[in-house]
Amino acid sequence: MHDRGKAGWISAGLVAVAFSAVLSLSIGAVSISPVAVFAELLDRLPFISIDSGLDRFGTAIVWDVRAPRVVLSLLVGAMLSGSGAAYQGVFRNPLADPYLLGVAAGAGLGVTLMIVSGASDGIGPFDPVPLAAFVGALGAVTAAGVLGSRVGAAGSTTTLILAGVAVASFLTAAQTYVQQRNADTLRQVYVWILGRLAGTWDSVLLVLPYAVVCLGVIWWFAGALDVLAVGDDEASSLGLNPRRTRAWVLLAASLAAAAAVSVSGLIGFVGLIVPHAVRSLAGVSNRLVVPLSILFGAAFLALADIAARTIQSPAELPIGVVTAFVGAPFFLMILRSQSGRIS
Amino acid sequence: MTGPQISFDNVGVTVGSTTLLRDISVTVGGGSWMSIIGPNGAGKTTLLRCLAGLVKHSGTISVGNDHNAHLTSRDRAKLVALVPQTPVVPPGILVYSYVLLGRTPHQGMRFSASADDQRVVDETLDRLDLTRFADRQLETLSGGERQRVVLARALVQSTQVLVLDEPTTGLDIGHQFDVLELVAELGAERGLTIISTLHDLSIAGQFSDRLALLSGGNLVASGNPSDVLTTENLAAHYNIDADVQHNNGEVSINVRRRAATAQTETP
Repeated sequence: MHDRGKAGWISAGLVAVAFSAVLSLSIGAVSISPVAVFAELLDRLPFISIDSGLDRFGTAIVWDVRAPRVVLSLLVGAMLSGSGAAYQGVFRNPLADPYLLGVAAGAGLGVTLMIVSGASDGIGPFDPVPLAAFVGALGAVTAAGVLGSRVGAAGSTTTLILAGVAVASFLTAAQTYVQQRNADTLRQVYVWILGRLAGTWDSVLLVLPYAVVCLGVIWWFAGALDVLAVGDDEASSLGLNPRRTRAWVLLAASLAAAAAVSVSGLIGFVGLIVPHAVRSLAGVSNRLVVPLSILFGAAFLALADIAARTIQSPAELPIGVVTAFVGAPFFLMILRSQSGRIS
Repeated sequence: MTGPQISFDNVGVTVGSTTLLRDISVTVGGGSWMSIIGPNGAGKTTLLRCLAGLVKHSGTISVGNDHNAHLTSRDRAKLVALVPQTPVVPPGILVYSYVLLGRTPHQGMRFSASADDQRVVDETLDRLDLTRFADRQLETLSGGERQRVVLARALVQSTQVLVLDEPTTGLDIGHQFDVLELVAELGAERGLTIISTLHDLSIAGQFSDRLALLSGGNLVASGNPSDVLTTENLAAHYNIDADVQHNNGEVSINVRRRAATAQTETP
């Protein structure tokens, strides 16, 4: 019955993605008019030929320098935000976020171990870094989930997050320890930890398959997440298999978050801010929250990356600093609005 | 169409070293209403949860010709609808979306609502006088309205068996009767087999065709309300001194206060 509203929201999401992409492509050390960028993008579409007025130099900046980084920021934003929406659905907890659940820290430890052991070069074309990040991420979210349900009152919103914080601190400590013990790879690890979008077509190609598959799986299960919202017992009595749903969504969300972390480092709060904003605007049904989180998450991170590139220009801020500046106060705001519900 | 007969046969539940239910055997006739009564901790809810497939148990439960343990949760959800004692209300959910969840067992892999699903929901909202609440957030409804919405979700499952766990919890006496009279009407209209737990004994006796009295995990009495609700049974299992009168399906139970000087307290 709300199909028209749904189409409207999805269109708004697509417009936001296009807008942030064009803006992001035009802003930088060399300013290029957004109109020219837009024309340049349209020109690449099949059956459309428009002269953007850009010279060879301008075209090279748009396509070779900026485009890979913009596409990467869109993909990473989509994955962090999509996995945040998925975790919130699975744990029935609006505060769940890949960063706060220790997922990013787990992925960080996985990647550090991989770099330190020297196996990061891979065997042939296979890059083991995302896999290491995935194993770490899944380990962390499992630990947070198990500890959160064992320690506190079942179903308490804050216990899960506290467990996540404890897991994250522990894994970060382990990661730092491993990093310090292996000073020769310190630089390599440190560059990665700071969280910057590398911006090469190689890293785009590296995460693209993970983004497509994981976000596809999460989107497929969006309806099941709506059923899961009434809790395991009632969901079972409605004919859903809660454990299978949770397992699939957790796998997909953790793999997405890990893949994002493995190309961009630790970027927090995206998975928290975007789905929350979407829910307060478009309602709580995951059928809408999941696709909109993916779209607006992509747009959000592209915009955050503009800030990271320009605030201290020509120096660059780590993008994780930008998202934390926006995200941490936002987190407190949600916590406050939740306080009536937290047991 | 009349709902299926439900048979519990030697049903037992043991969790760790605690036995919650022991050898429960009772049959609920097709299209009739049986209420499970008993003191707190007797195992009433556990027995309902066995039927809903939520608890591992020994013995067998059959629903019509189906062996309950052999059903997939989806097939069971097409046969048995559960109204839980304290339903989880997802924050921000709209009444319409909440009721639509009842169609889950009839939907495909992605749980998309068909035109048929929407028709059933619309009809049920109309029947339960809830249409005007369709776009309201469920949290904002009063206790009585909310209970009707939960009942609507169970009804759109289009099952022949309705399981109600303390459907009147938290409602004032007027709304308790509203809900139970609605259940009775719907039961008659649709030939539903109804199993409920009810803590109010006279209400249980008034609305149910049969009663089953559980105490300490055992079935201690079952049958017509007049056979189960007796001074002796209430004394033995609730430890109260009550005067019980049955009159044409109406039940009045008058409990005498235990005077401080009277007899010794039971240990």
